[in-house]
Amino acid sequence: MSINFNEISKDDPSKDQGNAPRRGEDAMDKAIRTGERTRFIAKPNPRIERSYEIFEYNIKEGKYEPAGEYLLLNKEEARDITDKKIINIISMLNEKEEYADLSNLTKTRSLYSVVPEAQAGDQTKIIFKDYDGSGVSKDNAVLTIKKGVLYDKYSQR
Amino acid sequence: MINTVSVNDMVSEESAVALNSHFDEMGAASRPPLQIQEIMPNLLSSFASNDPVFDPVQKHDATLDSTLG
Repeated sequence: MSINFNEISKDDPSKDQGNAPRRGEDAMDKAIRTGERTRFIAKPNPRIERSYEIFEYNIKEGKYEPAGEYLLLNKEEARDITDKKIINIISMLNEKEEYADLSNLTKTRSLYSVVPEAQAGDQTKIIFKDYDGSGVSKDNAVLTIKKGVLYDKYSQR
Repeated sequence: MINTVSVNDMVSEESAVALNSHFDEMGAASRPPLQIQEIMPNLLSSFASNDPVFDPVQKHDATLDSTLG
């Protein structure tokens, strides 16, 4: 059995059908069922509404470990939009450049700001914001990921 | 407290070797951090409306926005 981090196993083409998510199955369940390991996965946080836990696969330990979270602040955002955003963020973390297109679903621009290291501690924290073209932008969500995954070139200022 | 879910029992010794090999090949273990300012324009473009009032070039304002802390 071969395991790819960033693409579906091509050893057995018939496996591809099995790699499609099943109803009610999250990323962790799928990884266990298919044996496919991507470096980062996310699954809904059962303890916090509209929040996702982000896990990173630890090669040495052979298990997924907590690496961060995505907390939606704008609770009015449609669930399908949030789901696609988290998929895109995980794609970004896994260095895939295939993003789901949300352009027909949103009516806003997305901005971000990086929380200064002094406040974020041993994590990198990014606040996503929506801007609808008038007034000021509104906080949309907060992405927190362990330090070392992302790098803010302005953080040393 | 965040749960850790073990998938140890799903990875045979043979596959673990293959996994480590592939992981090393990918260079992922030593992957430098992704630079936020480089990845955000593409990520945010995928989030954003295709409303023409939002000139795609302006999405790079996100970089400026990030400097404001």
